[in-house]
Amino acid sequence: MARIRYNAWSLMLGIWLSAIAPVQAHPHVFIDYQISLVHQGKQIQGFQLSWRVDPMNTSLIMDAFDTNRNGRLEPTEAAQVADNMRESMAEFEFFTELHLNHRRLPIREARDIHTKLVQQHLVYRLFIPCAIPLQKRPQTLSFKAIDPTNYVAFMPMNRPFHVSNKGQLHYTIERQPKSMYEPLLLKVSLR
Amino acid sequence: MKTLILSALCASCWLLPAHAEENPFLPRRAPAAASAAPSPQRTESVDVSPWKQWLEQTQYTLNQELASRTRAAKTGSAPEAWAILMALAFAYGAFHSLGPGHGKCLICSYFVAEQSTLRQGLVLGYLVAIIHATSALAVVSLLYLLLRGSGQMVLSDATRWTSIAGYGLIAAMGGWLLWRALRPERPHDHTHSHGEECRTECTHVGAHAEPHRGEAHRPLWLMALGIGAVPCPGALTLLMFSISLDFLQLGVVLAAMIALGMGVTTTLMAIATILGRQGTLHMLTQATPVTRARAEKWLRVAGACCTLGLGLTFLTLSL
Repeated sequence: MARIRYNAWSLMLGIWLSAIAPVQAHPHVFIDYQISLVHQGKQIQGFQLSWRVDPMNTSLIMDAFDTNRNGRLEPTEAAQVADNMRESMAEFEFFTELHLNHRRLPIREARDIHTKLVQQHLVYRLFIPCAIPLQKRPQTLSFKAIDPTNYVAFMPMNRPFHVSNKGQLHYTIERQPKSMYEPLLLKVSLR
Repeated sequence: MKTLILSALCASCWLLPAHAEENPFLPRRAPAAASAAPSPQRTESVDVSPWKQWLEQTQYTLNQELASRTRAAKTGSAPEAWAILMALAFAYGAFHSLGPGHGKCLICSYFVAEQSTLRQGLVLGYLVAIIHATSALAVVSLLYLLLRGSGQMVLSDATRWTSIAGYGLIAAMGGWLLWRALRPERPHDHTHSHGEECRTECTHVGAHAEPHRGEAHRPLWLMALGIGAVPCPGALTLLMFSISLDFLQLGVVLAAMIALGMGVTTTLMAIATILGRQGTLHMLTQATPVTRARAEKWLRVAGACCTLGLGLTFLTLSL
């Protein structure tokens, strides 16, 4: 009898746990990304991101925003794409997770959002500001491109990381992302 | 009392926090006012299992291949290239539906609640996959063949209404299954002839634990319609892509291949559930008829609660 009860409860637990699974989404949008660390003087200014949307989702986005159906994004249409992104992704911190010395940094905004169509791929460029003063002692900085709802999957491009200005920044790459969900790990310090 | 606790446990799954699936790159259904912008969701990402990573990496590769080969097919391809393209769409369907969603949990809940044959598992698994892809085709056809350029409806609106209808039907089916599971047991009548299913499964303890042949087939179509009504986003995206290439015919063929691929996965899940249910009841062959009947009732209630709870959850998220 005890075994029967055990089996019955195990089965119920299995059902209950499997019932939770469908509320997790799975990727429908695939994005190739590049990161550029922007630095000036003794401070990191933020990250310049480039997102290249897969061709299938590009056609969906174009269908929604290319109102005059000419196959191109006019400035007003591109502005609408950017506004839509600002509105819908702010609550997900623009799918960016930043940690400084293992402490999460808030992402409050994205600036200079630009979009253009490049060979059937819609490319978003956006700047994520985060003021990080550089110190003599090395600090650990990590960057992860991730959608908490798991609707969008981010894939690093071949050489995903660049530094746009090497003023007084000294850095070493501890880990370069090579596939989905992998973070970029840096040691940053004042030169 | 135990049944009540179990019902509460199963129903509580729909109270868990959940996200409605929505493409963040497309216009929102209700634009957020600047003053009412939602606060950032500070969810910390967790380590992803190697299995999930492999699955998504495979989908990424298949997605890229499908896009480039579909474009190449537009300019004319050899028959082998078409065969590869169809195989890719089939594989994409199978892999894509391995992830959460696509009705697998609802199918499993249904087969936990209802005594079924393997053939019924095969039928429901494939019906769901076919209706899932057909729904995507219907949405695209509605928007691009009937309402083209009218601006009356956009993709997210059409998807939303089909989702509401589908989830409403699932919730209703869950309610019906629960009512059937909880209704008072009727006195058993041995004057009529039993079908094959009844001979093997009937507990003969004063009530029919399972419906007779024929009665059990009726909800299959309704369940398939409810689960499959929500358009498959993968098929939807592929159809839109083929329209952007002015090659809808190929999109339709590929959507059908995606449905066939999805059918393999959903059918396997359905068959696993049916076998699991039969195995659980088989373990009880030595138990008293009363215990066996009680276990069957628990299975029915649990499956019905999951179906109802999930239907209500997704319906709420769609509204």
